[in-house]
Amino acid sequence: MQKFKSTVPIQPAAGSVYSISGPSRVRMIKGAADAVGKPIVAGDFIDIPENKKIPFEFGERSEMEIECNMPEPAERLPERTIPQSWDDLVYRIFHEHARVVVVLGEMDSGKTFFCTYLANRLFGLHRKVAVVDCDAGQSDVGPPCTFGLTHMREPLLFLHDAKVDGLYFLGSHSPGLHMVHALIGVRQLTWQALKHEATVIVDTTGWVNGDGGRMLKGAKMDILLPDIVVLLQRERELEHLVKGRPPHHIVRIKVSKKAAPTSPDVRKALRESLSTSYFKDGAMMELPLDTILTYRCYLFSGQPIVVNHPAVLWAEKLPAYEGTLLVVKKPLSDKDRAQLSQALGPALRILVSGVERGVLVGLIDEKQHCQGMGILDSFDFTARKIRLFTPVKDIRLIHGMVIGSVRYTTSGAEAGFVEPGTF
Amino acid sequence: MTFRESEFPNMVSQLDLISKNYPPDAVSRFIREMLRIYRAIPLYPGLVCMCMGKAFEKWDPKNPPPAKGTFVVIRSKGSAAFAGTILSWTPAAIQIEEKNAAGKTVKTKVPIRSVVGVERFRTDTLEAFWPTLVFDGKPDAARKAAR
Repeated sequence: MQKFKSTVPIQPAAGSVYSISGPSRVRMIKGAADAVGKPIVAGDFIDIPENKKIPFEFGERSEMEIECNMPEPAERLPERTIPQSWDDLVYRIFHEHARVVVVLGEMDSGKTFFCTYLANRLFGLHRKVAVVDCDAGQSDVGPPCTFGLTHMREPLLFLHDAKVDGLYFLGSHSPGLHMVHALIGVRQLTWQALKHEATVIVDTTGWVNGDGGRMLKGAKMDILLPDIVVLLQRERELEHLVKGRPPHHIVRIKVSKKAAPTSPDVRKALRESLSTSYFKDGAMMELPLDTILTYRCYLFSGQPIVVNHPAVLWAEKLPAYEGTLLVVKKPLSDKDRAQLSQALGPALRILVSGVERGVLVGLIDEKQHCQGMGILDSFDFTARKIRLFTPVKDIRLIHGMVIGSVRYTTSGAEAGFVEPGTF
Repeated sequence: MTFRESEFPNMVSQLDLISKNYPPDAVSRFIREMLRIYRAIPLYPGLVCMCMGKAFEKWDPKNPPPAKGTFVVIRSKGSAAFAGTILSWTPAAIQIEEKNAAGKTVKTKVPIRSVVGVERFRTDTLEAFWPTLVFDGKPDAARKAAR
């Protein structure tokens, strides 16, 4: 737990609203408050991470202690930051028994805060609620590069504290160049939640413009057929996404003035703190190269063949015009390439041994559910093993591996990218 | 037709535009830089385009002239364009080393009075505008030297 230098006491009056900044640890000594739709009572401790601010609405005269490293962690606000329209929407979802609620908004429009509030309030009304987080860049449910599903079991201040009930491995921080899988992921997790008869709140990415943004958001609505689409907008910047959609499904909500922009540096730092935390208990494991299934790649999908050439570690024949996949010890010389082309045909797909190091992979069980992620270390063609670093403890559950498009160090730091199609 | 599902067509459009408006050596450098950035961030062709859109930077006459050795494109009256590395820059003329069609270098002097614009070619746009996506682990000086 983080150590703080000072403790700041505050005694908020009944009806007052305070915004408390992180990193800090809040202890409610007396009274009662509501934070992001979660009731806070005497004796509760709340950890607010760095770069986060939480508004507390005090229902009665209260006392709090804030441990922090800043002189003024609490700012008194003139009024409630949560508008009545949010509560109106909660009651509408409740009364209409809405099943799927999709939340759209630009980057930094407060979508996750809004989704957390909706989920907490609906949970408070004894509704089964699930949240599907499909922002793989700023993941709250599950680690970065995945989509996550959580069934609410208690009100939460931050979705990153939620138990992960379902994961879908996207393999990248961004759905760009991963459109199909982004759509499959949101559909699979939403359907999984609907099986539990929950109201599903779908938190989306802030990519809402341009070809990709329009296509992705349009396709998500087409595939999920939401009962309610929430547009979190400042002006009319999302209207293009819902043109032609049933007007009674659309709810327009103004972005809170408190929604603050997050710089790319902070976004990266937030992502890395999540991936560091995810991999901190990881260990080097081995998977059997001959039986593991691989997805979204050519490697290990063809018919193994023997190629007698000193540079070749592994060879497989791919169907039709796809040619032959070769894993070689080092980049081929022109002479070696010509020799191999003559023997195997011109369509050679060459992988140089070591290219796999650091590549993020999703680990899939026999029901094709993602059990977690790993970081590839090496393919050992002699021992017939795939070595990878993963926090997944029971490696026997793993039947397959989805190759991702990003690289990580085993400490969870981002280390680069892999061109889709490399493997 | 439907939406483009990636930003690769924008890279093609950018190449088309550059090939029509810049001398061959500038086009060649542009392609090499585009490839370098694409290889560094293959998931983000949109950001490749964004970086490459800033690769030719207009020189503002209020600023000191670009340093010796900088690759520039000089546009002169009569719509002629010259591309090369700066050898000297005086109040009277800019002298550059150009690569001709045969790949040989030639020295070209462009009188200042005929210059209508100068563009500096930048090979640091990814590092300057998207430092969070740079993973080569090199210090800045080594990165510059490598290019």
